[in-house]
Amino acid sequence: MAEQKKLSIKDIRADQREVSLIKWPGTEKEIGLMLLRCGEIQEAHFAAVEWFQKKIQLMDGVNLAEFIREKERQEIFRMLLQPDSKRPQDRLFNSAEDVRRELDLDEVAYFQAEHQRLTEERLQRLGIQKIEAE
Amino acid sequence: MDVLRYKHASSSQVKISGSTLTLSISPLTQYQIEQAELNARSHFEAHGCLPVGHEFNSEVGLQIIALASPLDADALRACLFGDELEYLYDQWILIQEQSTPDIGQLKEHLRKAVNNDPSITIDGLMAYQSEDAQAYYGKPMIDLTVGQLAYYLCLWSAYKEFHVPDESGKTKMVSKKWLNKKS
Repeated sequence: MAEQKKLSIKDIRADQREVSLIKWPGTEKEIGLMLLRCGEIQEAHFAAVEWFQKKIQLMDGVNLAEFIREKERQEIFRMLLQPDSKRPQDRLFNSAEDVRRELDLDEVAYFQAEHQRLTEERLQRLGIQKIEAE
Repeated sequence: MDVLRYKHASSSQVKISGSTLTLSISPLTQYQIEQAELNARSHFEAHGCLPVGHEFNSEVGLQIIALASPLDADALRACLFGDELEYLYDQWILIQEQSTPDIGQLKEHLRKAVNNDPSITIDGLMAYQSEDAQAYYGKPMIDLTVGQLAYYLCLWSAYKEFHVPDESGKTKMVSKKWLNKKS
């Protein structure tokens, strides 16, 4: 049966973030891209739902594509960092609204693809190993 | 056959990638699995979100790992990447399956064990003397896994078959040949 909850987040690796430098599309300028964890992806989802409900109200089949784009923007807001930082709070954009205003669809697709690429690189680099059962 | 794995609903150690930390993952009861889904539903509804879709399914998986491991849901959300959550969930599925025995095999194993393993014989006596599975394990039925219930029922049945006299007052005889035959 499940044991009593004893571990805290500090026991694991909360302050260690994986940040890669990538080039801003079409330039030589570098920015930081942080791989998002479950909680950050969920936070982006909730923020997208909240924005969508305020702006559009209905989430039907026609609007689904727009919802997915908004979720991607929310994720980009959270994944892009200042180039010299590994801290999640040092975001490149001040708000999701800035992402909406500054990025076109190609750039959104580019950053999503970069996140996917770095995720796959990480998977290749790290093996996940099961230890013998007790 | 490791029957104590069923009796104790044993956990397994699973390593998280990129960390020296190993998580102890336990099998869950049906009640806990339902509770995990309710927790996920409450979490989504609290954020004004419909409990549907891929994100919701991920949250259900996360809540299951939260109940099966020593980490709570907030800690898991903060520390796991999506692929790690999927990995841990897959491991939990395996652990859950391993905790659910093949009833036929378990019954056959225990029928022999109550005759040639003194610790199982004593355990069988305790099971037989207990009013039900709750009394045997000392906890409510909803806190018992399928494997624990199966172990109790098969052990009770095996003990009764060989150690409790029938209506004529005789107990069933067993042959060494049968005891030594591999099931």
